[in-house]
Amino acid sequence: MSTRADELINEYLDRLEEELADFPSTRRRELVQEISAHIAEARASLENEDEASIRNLLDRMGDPADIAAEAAGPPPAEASRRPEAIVQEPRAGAIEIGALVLLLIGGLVLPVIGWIVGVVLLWVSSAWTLPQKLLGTLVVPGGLALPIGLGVLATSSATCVQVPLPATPNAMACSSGGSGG
Amino acid sequence: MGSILVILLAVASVATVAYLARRMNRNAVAVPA
Repeated sequence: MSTRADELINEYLDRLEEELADFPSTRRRELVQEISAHIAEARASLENEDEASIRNLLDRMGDPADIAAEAAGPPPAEASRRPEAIVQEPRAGAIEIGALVLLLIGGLVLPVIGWIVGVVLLWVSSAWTLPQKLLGTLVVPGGLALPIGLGVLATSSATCVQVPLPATPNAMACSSGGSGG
Repeated sequence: MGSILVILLAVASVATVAYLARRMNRNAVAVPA
């Protein structure tokens, strides 16, 4: 009868080994030895080794597929979250804030150079796309420095200069370097 | 005429920077893990 018991146990261990086929060989051997030791221990405590007792013992050990699943760990709920789809929201860092400030008023603080630094920061930052960078660079070169500079230039060049005219000695002319607007 | 141009340029400059500031927060960057 012990031959039949051995057969049943060997079948069980063979099935277990098949279920553990995906495991590394060392881990597989370790698990099989562990279960085998449990079976041997339980078998030693049996009063009589008939087929029914052995089958009962193996049932208590559990199905080899369940043992393999348990050894593999819990279902990978965490692992199912794929990390490559993570989308990082860009935050306004020093580069972005510096770029915006310098694009707008950099030319006023440090004529020409301030705005150029702003443009460099704009292109260095990854917060904007290429068309947006082109827009920021080309729409108003110089930022507010350009309109303010033009305004100051127009005001100063529009001042009247009194020049005596030879034909009419008492008349005065008002010359303007601007367009007269 | 010149003053209108100046105002238009100033408005365009501010509007461009405001647009860039708004777009900065919307551009999502996919980062490989």
